[in-house]
Amino acid sequence: MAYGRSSMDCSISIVIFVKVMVMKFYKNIVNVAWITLITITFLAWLIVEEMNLGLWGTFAIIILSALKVNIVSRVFMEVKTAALPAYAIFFKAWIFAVVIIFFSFFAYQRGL
Amino acid sequence: MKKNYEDVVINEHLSTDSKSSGVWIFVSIDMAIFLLFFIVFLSERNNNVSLFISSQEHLNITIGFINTVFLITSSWLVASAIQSIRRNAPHKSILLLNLALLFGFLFVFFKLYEYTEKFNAGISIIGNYFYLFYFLLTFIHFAHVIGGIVALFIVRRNLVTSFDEKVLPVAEVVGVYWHMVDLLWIVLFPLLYLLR
Repeated sequence: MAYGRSSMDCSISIVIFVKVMVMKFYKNIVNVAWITLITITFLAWLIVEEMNLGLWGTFAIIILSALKVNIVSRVFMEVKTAALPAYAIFFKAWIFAVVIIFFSFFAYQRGL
Repeated sequence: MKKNYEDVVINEHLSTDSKSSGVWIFVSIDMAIFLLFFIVFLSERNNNVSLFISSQEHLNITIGFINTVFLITSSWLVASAIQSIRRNAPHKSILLLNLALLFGFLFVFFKLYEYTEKFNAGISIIGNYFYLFYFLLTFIHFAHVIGGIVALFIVRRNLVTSFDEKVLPVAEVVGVYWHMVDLLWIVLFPLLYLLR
């Protein structure tokens, strides 16, 4: 109060500061990609450690892994903007091949 | 004089492009080789499913998970450092690179701990086909991580000594390599540890 500001004003300004920082953090696609990747990794670990790794568990891990590979190549590696179109095609083909490998692994396991 | 200056600019541009192109070729070949490894692994696994599943149970999923988080975080820090270099913020980029290196070292530490754990349990590369693949694939990847750490140190040194226009292309090239290391681990982790 000595400086004309109550503790309420101070806490409001802290809240606003934190809100601005969080908004700034989420504005950057690289940060959003990191949060998404960590969440996906945690989900995959949770599925394996805490749940029975059945048909849908394995399927979920394949999808989550493919999603992670896609996010890293597109956002972190900036394949779309930095590389020549030929490399972007190569990366798409590589991700597709990895997904095929995962699914054939899955299909063999299930006797399909 | 003007013409000479333009030549210099064009040459510099070309050399940057060729550097960048070089790393993309290297990354593409490396990823293609790893893809072959994955196919061979899958083929061998289909011949010995029970052996692969029983051996897989001896792997520490939690360490694999922690290492995945470390590599993803390190990759994010490198991407953020490159953004900072583009925004002409050398101090922030040095700090981010230091943190990226720290997470790289943590990955190395945990990987060495995992290897030691396996060796102490009497598991080695000649144990069976699964361990042959496990040690071969993870060790090749581990060597890539060491190479990446050295490359990140070079970028860091360049940033500390002189922050000029030559820093960004080198940082981008090293960044692409480091993200590839991350990318390969993202496939190796479910393939070796998770999928059963």
